[in-house]
Amino acid sequence: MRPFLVKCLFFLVPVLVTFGLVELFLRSVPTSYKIKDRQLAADASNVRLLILGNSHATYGLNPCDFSVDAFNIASVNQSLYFDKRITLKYLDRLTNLKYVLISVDYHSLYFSDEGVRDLWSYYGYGINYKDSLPAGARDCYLYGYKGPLALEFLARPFEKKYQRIRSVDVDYDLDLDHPYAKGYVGKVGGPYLAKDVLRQRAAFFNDIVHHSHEHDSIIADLEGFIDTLKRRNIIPILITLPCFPPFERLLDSSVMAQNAADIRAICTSRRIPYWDYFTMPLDSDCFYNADHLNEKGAGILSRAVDRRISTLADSPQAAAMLTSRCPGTYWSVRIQLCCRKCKYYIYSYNLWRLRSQPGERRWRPS
Amino acid sequence: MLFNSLQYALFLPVVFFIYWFITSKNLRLQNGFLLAASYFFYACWDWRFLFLLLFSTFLDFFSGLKIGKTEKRSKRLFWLWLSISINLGFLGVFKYYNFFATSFAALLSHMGLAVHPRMLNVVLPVGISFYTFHGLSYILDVYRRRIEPERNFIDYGLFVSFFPLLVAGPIERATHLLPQLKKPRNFDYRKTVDGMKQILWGLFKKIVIADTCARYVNAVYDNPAAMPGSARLLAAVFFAIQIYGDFSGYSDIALGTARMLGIELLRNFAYPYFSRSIAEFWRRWHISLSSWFRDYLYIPLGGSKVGTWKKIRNVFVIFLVSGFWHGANWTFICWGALNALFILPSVILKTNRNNLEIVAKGRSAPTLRELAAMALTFALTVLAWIFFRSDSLPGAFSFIAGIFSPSLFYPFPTLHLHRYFMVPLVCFFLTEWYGREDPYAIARFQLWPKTLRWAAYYAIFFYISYFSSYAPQQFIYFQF
Repeated sequence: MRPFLVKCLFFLVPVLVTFGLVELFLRSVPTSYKIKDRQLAADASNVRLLILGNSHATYGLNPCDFSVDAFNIASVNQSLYFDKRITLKYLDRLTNLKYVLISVDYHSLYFSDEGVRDLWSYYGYGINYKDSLPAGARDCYLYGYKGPLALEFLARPFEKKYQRIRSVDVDYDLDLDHPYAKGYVGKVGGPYLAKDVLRQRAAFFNDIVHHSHEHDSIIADLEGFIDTLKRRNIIPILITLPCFPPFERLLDSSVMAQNAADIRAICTSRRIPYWDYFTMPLDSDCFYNADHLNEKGAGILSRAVDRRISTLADSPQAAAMLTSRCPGTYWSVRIQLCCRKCKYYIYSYNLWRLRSQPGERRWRPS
Repeated sequence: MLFNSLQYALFLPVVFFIYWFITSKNLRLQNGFLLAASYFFYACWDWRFLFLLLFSTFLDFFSGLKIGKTEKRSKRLFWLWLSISINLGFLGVFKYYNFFATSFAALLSHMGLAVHPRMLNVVLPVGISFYTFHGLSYILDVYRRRIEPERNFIDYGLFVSFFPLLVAGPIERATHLLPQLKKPRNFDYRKTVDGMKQILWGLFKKIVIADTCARYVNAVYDNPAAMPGSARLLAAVFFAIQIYGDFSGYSDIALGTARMLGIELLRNFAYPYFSRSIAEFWRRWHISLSSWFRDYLYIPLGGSKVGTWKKIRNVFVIFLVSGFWHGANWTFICWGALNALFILPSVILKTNRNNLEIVAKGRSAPTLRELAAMALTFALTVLAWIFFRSDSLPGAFSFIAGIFSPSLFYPFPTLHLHRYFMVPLVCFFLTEWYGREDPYAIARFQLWPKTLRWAAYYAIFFYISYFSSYAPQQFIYFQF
């Protein structure tokens, strides 16, 4: 038995030492989550505007273009679940926070988990998604990141491409000469708007929405979040970011109508503004791809939003925003909702006609 | 508790050390501890089904004693059929009730009668097909006086529930395993290391090969209509590799674990994809099940020592039952029927006992004729696996039709297939070929210099770590 144990030990020691060293290295890697966590913690007392959301907000809103001190805590595929909990984590330290931009996109009200990013997010912010993360993965980065990503991290110090930023989700086409500034790093290049890619992206979002069972619970969670912010005299602003117009047409119009109705219900009941930039007219060179802005687009959008925030701040009723409606926003929502509902009814009527006459295909839904 | 999970990586060393350090002086204690560990292992899935396992074990143990006690044929037959019918009854209720109910309802609806049968909303107890077959083999062997009835419940319980083979085989025979459990077992360095190596190779097959193939296969089978013929063909080939890596990987881990504990289990796989005919394939694939059906079904039906028509009937019976054993779905039955069709010519022409030795024995490469025969056999098995993997028969036929379409020549989508996967895949086949004369592929590494050997083990270890995920994938055969 003794020779067996000694040989086992001999075999395992190099493995354990290697694993230990890799684990230490992985823990020290400055991922996008950790960078944002550190930057926000350092600047918490100055931040007046916090930007939340998924990749649309991550790449689409540049805090440096805002006249108020802003910080972008959005991350790729970040759900409202994480938006809420990350904000609550810092809320006590965000003593000057006045506005929170909550990005609500086509699929935002339909998903709460981030897939593999749940764990990456946990390593960054310490938020355990619905207490579902496996213990081994929580405690061991090597186990959690898995082989391919761990090896990629190990390789990055040797690659010039990733000399400045070595973080999760820094995959391609990011401006590596400008490391995270106020939580933001923008996409460069584009537009990548091939029809197949648009269709794939739309199918991806439609799939999330059509297979979701979380819609009501997410809305309830969001409303709770808004109430918490309002109790702290912070103005939550729901915002939808632009997408490439042909891409919009590939999304499910009934879902968009439902989204509009949901957002309207939230905004009217909570008396908060909703800024819809979904169909904002932008040149195609402002887009990185179907649903992401590049740095140029992000600059244009950020300045537009900043102007609106300035207006909001300068208006005599700004302070009263917490208790009053925003009429302009309210009516813009109503009009858009009407348009979308009409579109939906026409769609449904045509669909009904098509189904009622199976032999005669007179109309094909686009 | 899956063999490829962190829990098992902790469970096995604990069992190993208690088994060899604390209980090794006393055989009864050793067997008792293994039985307790096996029940714990099973209870990790669902402790409620432990009662079913205990009941089935006790029924066969008691029936065995009763059969052994009397010389009267009628009484022996009574206890035999009681045990068989209750065992198969459980299997029928849990595994086949919904299938029969829906099939019957469908048949009636074709006749214009609308029936809405009540479905069982119960999960299939894991390993039920395997431990039922353990029990049946024991009872049949006792009835045929091939073995004396076991009088020690712990030993018998361990034969049925020994944790490495409890949930997905190999399907052991009482004549093979029970005598081993009766003998004192001493720690053997060579056997233990051999067992560990086999576990390592099993994990490589499962985690690196099978699970990676599975990602591609699932992506294609989940949405076949959107996939070109090339992707379907690749998915069909990958599924053949996946199911081999998955099941033979499981068997390697089971055999290695048992060997570490001083117990030899029946071999389940012998490089089936290097077979030169379908008959040879079935001598090398899931050997313990094939030999079970041969001994307890095929030979009692007359085997091949009957007329041609009966021979054909026997071949179809055995393959249809084998297909049905895998699952309550017409796809499995069709898979069995297809294999029966493939094997039939060799049975009729009496060439099914050709190719008993492994291909190119003593040579490094096969001849062109052997290569062509292997390729043809592999192609036929791939075709049959399409039925095995598909959810329904129309789905399988449309999948095959999609392969043989102009889109076969389109470039196939990579579908998140790991860009370096071809490296371990090629290494896997080369290693299997290199070690095809041994019980498992890397056994031959023993002949290498120590440095090279250890480097190879580290490389395998590295690949397993690299491809492993924190959510271990189920083994395919757990569902059976």
